[in-house]
Amino acid sequence: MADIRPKSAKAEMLLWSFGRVLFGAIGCLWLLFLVAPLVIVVAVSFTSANYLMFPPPGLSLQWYAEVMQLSWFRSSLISSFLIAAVSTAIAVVLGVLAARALSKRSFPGHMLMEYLVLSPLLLPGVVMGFALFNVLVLLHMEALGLPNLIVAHTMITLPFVVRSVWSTMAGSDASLEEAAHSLGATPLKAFRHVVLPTAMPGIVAGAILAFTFSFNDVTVSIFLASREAGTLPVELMADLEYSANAAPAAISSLMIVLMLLLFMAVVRLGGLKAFVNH
Amino acid sequence: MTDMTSPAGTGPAFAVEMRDVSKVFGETTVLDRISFDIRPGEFVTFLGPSGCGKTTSLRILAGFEQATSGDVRINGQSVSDMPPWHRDIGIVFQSYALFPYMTARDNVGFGLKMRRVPKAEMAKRVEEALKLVGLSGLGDRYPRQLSGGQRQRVALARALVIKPQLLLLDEPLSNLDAKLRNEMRYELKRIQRESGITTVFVTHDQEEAFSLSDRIVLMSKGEIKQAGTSREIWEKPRTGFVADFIGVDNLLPGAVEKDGDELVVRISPSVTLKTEICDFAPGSAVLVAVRAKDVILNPVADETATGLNVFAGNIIDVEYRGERCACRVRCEGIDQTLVALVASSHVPSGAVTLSFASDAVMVLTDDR
Ligand SMILES: Nc1ncnc2c1ncn2[C@@H]1O[C@H](COP(=O)(O)OP(=O)(O)OP(=O)(O)O)[C@@H](O)[C@H]1O
Ligand SMILES: [Mg+2]
Repeated sequence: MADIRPKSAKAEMLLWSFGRVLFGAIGCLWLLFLVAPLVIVVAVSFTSANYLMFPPPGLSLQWYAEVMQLSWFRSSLISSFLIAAVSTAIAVVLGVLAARALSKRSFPGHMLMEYLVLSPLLLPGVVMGFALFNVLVLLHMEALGLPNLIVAHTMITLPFVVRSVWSTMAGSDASLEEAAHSLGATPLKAFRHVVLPTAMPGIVAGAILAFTFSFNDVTVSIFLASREAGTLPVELMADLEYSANAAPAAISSLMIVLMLLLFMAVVRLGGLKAFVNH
Repeated sequence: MTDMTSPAGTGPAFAVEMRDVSKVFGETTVLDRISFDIRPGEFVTFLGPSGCGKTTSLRILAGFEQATSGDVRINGQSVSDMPPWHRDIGIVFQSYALFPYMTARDNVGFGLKMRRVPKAEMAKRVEEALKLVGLSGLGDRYPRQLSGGQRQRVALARALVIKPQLLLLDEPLSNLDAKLRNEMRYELKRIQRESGITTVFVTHDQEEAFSLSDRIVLMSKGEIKQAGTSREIWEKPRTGFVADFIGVDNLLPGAVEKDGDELVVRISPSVTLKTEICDFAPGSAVLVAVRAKDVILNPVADETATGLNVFAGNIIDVEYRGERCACRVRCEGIDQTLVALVASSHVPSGAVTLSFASDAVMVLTDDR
């Protein structure tokens, strides 16, 4: 047999190690660009000054105390939570059913349903929001606020749930369900005891995506939020326009912490364990 | 047939009856008018090459697939309108299909849970089932923590614990290594005998089929080629396909001719074979099958040899098969080489003489 080692083995080896170093360097840079702005925002939020400045001249919690006094902060935080929780719940239920239908053998209208469910992923949020707003004006329902936001957020987060549940369902062994049937499980019981647990990693992942997307959304919500039902990001945007102090930085820091807590809670609840198990 | 019950009145005479069952997927006919009966407690094997419709037959029995036409009865009852979850059938899938997020114990208990068996009784029956398959003590393991053979036993226990009317096994041994396969084969037979559950086993491994079954159904391209006991199929293959599938080494196409009072088979312009039984009219194209073990190899060349089915030839190849060796011999006037078995301790070479008795010559239809 011929020697498969080329003359340039040394050079290739060098290139290979260089490639790995380069890869690591890009990774570090990426992390730096991602984390650095966040670090600055968090640092600024603890400033003792009355204006924005980095690095902060001194440390204090005054802006957090200030933020807690803001009535729009408290009400919009509650609205955001409510909207994200309810729309995620609805999106999960609808998404699981849609994914189930899509993952079964093809039926008439399969393609249509696929496009319909996934289209919000492709449309820009501004377009979605603007279109929805126009429809609501036509129906004289634009002042409803909260319900409008919930419906809109369900629409835009549904594709996330469908996508991730569908892929877990499509990848799962169809004979599991047949095994359940042979053991006496009706379709409903097989769904509850076999289909749902098998799809659980996808459901959890989809729900996390849906919740965070809803909680963070500005582009769609800005068209639909009313004074009584403004979401936190929308109110924050509005506030940023005329405030030059560090209150928005404090709110941003709080949102970062909230998202971190959410992920940790999900991990605690076994979300990640479900990922690892399969 | 109107009388569905056995003389003693102990229930239906047949656990399973398939009558002219056909299955068509789009354009392709996968099963073509299959008819077959299985007696209660019988161990029946569907045997055949890949793609012949074995799994499809099982799926029709299980209710996952509807027959395009024909009638399927289980314990005398037509099941065409009965969904799988009402059929009371235990299945072991080729992939085992264990629920990955459940322990072995929960997997085995699933069928009982669906039947709302009380907790205490359920625990007892699950332990019994685990013991039956030799897995007591491993009940708390998840499928991913079990070896292939252990998973297969869990799957078997899960199917048996519900005491089904019928047990369906789809190539359950094909993922195991040779040693484990032999052990499990024996275990399977023991468990089936002890439980007495009517069992349908699917395999493409003829050795497995012969060692396990009370009866074998040999299939090819959606048709039943022969059904019978292992011995019947082994000793009297009914067609060329069957002879080929069970491993008869010498298969020679030919045509039936009349030679005086007798019928002989011409396999080449210069050679005819004598046979005892020939159910074909002169002129029919047939396949002659002769087992290698029936071919007598005389290690001396006997040019003058004549008489019943005697040929001079040369050994061109020797294949080692353990105790015996298969000698491939080229004979004058015969296109195909012939195979004869000799003891491995005395392997001849060069010119030899082959002969076989006329009752060793099976004349069959060529349906390969
Ligand atoms: N859902 C289906 N649609 C179309 N054709 C199918 C379908 N299921 C099976 N077939 C075809 O039917 C034939 C028989 O399939 P089946 O699975 O019953 O074979 P098998 O005897 O179990 O083979 P193997 O030993 O490889 O498992 C094959 O040619 C297969 O391609
Ligand atoms: Mg098969």
